[in-house]
Amino acid sequence: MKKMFKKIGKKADFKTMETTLIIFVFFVMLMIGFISYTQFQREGIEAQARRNIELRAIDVAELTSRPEFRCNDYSAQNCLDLYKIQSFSKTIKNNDEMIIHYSEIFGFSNITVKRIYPTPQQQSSIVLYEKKPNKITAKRKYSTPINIYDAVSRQYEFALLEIEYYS
Amino acid sequence: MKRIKRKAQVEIIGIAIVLVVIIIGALFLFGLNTQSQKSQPVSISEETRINKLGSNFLNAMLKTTTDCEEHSVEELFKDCFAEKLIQCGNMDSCDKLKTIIKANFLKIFDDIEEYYSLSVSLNDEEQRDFTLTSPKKLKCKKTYTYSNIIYTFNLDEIKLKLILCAE
Repeated sequence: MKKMFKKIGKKADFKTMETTLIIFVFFVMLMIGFISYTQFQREGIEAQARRNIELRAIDVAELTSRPEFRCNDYSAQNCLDLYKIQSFSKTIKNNDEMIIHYSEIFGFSNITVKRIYPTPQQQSSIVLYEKKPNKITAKRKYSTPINIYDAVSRQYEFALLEIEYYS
Repeated sequence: MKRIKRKAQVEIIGIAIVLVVIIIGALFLFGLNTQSQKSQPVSISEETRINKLGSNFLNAMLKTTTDCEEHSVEELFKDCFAEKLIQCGNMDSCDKLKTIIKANFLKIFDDIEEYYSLSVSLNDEEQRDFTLTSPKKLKCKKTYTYSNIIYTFNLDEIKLKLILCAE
């Protein structure tokens, strides 16, 4: 009788162990599934955020059509007036009102015009606007070729409009 | 004895089924991950960026005033494939074009690490002297072609073709 109880006890122990193991494996599988799912979700959200920043940077590059920057020659596409951008760059540096106004348009970004050809005698880069957030979580750079028009010499320069957009 | 044997067989089949399910699940996750990394289509923001880069490059380059008697790149092209009357120091218009396109204009693609291939054809006949390709070789997900047509004084057709690539 005692021997029989001992045998039943051993079998019950084994069954309990088996059930525990099955539950453990089940939860491990559930966790793996959950982790994979959240990872896929996170990657998707991050990719979407990256795309949004890229599109925002491309949107900012449309500044070439703004009257305060563009050259008066309408035959030239994507053309900035040299004297307009030089005076804008000087004025915005010490003008808080202007910074507030343009931050609504350009957001957190750094807009630079890099003069490439013909090689300029002075000021090879013109910083048009610069505003960085306190903490940069993401950054995208977008560059597009443009012309700069010097209305005095009536010459078109080849330049690169560089936009660094932050979020 | 026979009953125990049958029970053991059932248990083994159970374990085998669980293993098969785990393997299928792991393969599915692995496949999903590699597919999302490799065969991801070119995003809209990337397409927009490349389209603007390609079309703006050709427009800006042709409009630029060169240091050769203040002729534009477009004028140098017209002269190069016609009378060759323009002299830029000790170079003719064709040599001047080859020099400045390689050293000044296409340099921007190297700076922003972009693959390019620029070719020029006269009445659909490719001018091999003007074909310039990026030293950087890439596996392109998709190629984008941009072209600008200019006409010489004899009404010959000069076609500039730029190929860019989305990584």
